[in-house]
Amino acid sequence: MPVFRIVALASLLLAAMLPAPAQVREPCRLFAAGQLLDAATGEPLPYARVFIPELNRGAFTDSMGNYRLLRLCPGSYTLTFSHLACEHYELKIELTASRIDTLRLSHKDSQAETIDIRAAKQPDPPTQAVARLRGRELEAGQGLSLAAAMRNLPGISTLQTGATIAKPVIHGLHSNRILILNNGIRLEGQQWGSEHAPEIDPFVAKQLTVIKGAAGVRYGSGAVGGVILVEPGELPDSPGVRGELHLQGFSNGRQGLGSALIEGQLPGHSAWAWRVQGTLKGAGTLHTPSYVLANTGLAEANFSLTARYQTLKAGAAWYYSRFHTRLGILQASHTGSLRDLQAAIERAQPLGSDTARFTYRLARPYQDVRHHLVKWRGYIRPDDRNTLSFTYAFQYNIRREYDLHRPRGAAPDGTLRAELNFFIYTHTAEAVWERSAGPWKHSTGIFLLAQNNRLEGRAYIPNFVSAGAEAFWIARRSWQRLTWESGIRYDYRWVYSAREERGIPVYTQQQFQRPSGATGLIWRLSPTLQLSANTGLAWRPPHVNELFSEGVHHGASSYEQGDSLLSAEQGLKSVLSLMWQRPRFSGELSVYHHHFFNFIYLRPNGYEITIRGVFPAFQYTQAPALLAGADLSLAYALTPRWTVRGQASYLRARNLAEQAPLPLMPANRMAYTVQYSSEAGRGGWRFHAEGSWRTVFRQRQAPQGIDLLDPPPGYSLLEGEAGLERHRCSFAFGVYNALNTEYRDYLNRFRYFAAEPGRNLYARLKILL
Amino acid sequence: MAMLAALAFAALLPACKPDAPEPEEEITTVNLKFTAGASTVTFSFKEGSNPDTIKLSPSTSYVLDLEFLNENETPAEDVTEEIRTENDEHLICFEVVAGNVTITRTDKDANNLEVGLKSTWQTGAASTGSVIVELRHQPDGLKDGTCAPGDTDVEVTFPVRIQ
Repeated sequence: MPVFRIVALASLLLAAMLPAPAQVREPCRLFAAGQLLDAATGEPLPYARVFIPELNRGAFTDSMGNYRLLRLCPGSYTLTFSHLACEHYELKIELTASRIDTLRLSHKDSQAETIDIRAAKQPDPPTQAVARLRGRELEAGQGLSLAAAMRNLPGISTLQTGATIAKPVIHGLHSNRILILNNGIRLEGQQWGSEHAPEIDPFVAKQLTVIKGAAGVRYGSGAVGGVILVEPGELPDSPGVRGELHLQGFSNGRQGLGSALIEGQLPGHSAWAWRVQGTLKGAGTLHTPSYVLANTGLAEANFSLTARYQTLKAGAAWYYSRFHTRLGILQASHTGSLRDLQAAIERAQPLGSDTARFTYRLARPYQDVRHHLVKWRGYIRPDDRNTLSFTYAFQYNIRREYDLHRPRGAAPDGTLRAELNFFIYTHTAEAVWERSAGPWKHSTGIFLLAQNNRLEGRAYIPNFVSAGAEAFWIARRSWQRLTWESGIRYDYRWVYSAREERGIPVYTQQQFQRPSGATGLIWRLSPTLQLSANTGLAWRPPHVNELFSEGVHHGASSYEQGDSLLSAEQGLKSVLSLMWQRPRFSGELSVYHHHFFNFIYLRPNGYEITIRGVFPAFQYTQAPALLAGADLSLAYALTPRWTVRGQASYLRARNLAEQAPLPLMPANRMAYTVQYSSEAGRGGWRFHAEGSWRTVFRQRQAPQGIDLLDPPPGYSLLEGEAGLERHRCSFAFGVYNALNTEYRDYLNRFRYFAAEPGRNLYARLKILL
Repeated sequence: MAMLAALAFAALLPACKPDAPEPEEEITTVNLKFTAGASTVTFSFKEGSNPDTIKLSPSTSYVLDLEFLNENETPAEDVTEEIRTENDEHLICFEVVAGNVTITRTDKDANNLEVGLKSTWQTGAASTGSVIVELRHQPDGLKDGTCAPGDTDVEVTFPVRIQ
């Protein structure tokens, strides 16, 4: 439940603004709390005054727009909200129990409907466990990759190939087992590969939401392990032009980035709004505490364009985004044979690191990845109860992978030719009918997909065309303290693939189809306590790499064999979450149990003799598996300004057929944070500072005898940040890996070759124009 | 309308066919031609099978000619020619894991660095062991006469029996 959750996340800031609890009169223990949002942008409204004239008492909202009035006696009150830029708003309440509201205030100059669209635009909270990132917490990670920005959320970790290529992992699952929705569109790239990072500019997002449950019913097959929603802010619904500028610098790799956003309404046409957004990023060679990581720079250039037409009855939006990144890959990690890999592992530091120097220039090997997304969405709202929306999107993803050396036979200018080229074209279309009838809400939809994937160069997966048709129905009913939701879905997928076997093309047609379903509830036990539970059955078709791989997986130095007879992978995930929200102490505990009936994994299968030497062979196969774990996060306000937070994630993942752990699962981890935040001082500046101690334990649940190298020891990192902010401007200085700790992470494939980057100082500036 | 679109969609798709994959340029076969005097004997490795055992006589000097083929093509493509043309980017390395044999490369490239397509094998007393034959691709000025730089294009471990 987002309102509740957002409040929970920001509770420490809230608590920081409260006077110490004293002289509490026994019967007056109620509170009125909530969050104020800008109706136009959906952004939190900080420093708005909330006042109760009857009591002559008030408070200001914090930087997240949260307010809280404590120790209220039952009775009738008027809550007045005032903000410099916004219309004054009054809310009459009959206080019999504590309450948490979300209110959206419109700008004074708004011509449209004035005020009080209470929670109108808030999507219905999912019954799965959810983690959200927005505001300053989001900004703190936006200069990193999408996955790295989310790495500190409970239950989330990253699967990495070096420091620059990172994929998000939800409760131990990643790649084809999670879906990433970029502005409502399923990201369709080459997500099956562990070294293929999501092609999304983190600065597109105003909010990142992670649904940590089986969310296949709403979002489609593939959402077996969870969903990540990359949500841009809402377009302005008041006249004028506004903008946002981010400038950031990082010491390690001497990374610099700038990101800007300009948005507005067409003058005189309030129904039309537009946005232009872009990011430029450049980084050079990274270094560990003791050596340079040759060729680990990156260069990225992204932009997006949005236009929207909106009236009460109908609307449409157009969106185009382009993502382009070039990622250098540590030269020493390029190993063509098992002997090369073994030699690389035995070296204390990567080959050539003693002569490597800092440079922004990228050399081989590197990846060059582009992603284009075109989206059109239209809706009609014939009456207040029904909304019909259509979405069409086209995505074109080009991935070029350059090996360390140009191949034999290529011309000497072969640096321009990639050894491996993927081109994937995806059309998707969705139609959804949403209907609300009293306490009931229904959502019915169909989804269609057509895809063509083509490879050039070193064959690794087959070429394929694919088509999908999916239909779902979700019903939701709310009572005063309970919300119940259930849904069913049916997905069909057709895959026609072409591969080469000893020089001869072989064509295969396959079909996969499955029903899926989910049910869940949110039970508001009291204003301070909420329980949510969800059980969902989700599936995904096996990917062509799992069906037809036959060859050496470069980099992994393993010989991978597909199995064309694999069936669709199905899993049942249940999540139980308890959230509490007390004035000084808040927290959340989520427990999950994810049972796969036929988990697809690579089973060791002896050795394979190839022309490039002998490789350990792995066969894609299926077995029942169980992933079970828990996430805990706590926040406690020591004083109005000081808050401590703690967080822990635990996961146990077992292959039930072999009675062995599943490989490449995130190790257990915990973190402590101490945070200080001051009230607005001279000139309206507010100060914040925080320090975190993050511990990742050694992965003791790793399968024996498969990996060339045991999981590395656990490690702890110190991070810190301090910053100042005002209404239109904020800046912060901070440090990652403050103690310059030398460590390696089990989920980073480069652990075979090199340590993680050392101390990284950064500075961050944000200006609202 | 959505249903119509769905129908059109379903009707169109089976007409689509994935592009045939590009044939890959690769080496599938290594032939070792040993010549001692007038007699010639050949041992091979073909991808997908085990390498032959190299059987040589003791205390004999052999001349080895290496041949690399791509037998995925018909007729088989001789990759040896390409290696010979680009001999300043290639080096064949022999590693004697065990066995009484001494291997010396006898051919040189334009920069007077050894290549290894031609070599002499001087056998000693009767013994068994193995030899790793490695083709290193060392383009863009990487070649320095040692085996370390570059990529492995071929790596085959041949058992050796000297009797």
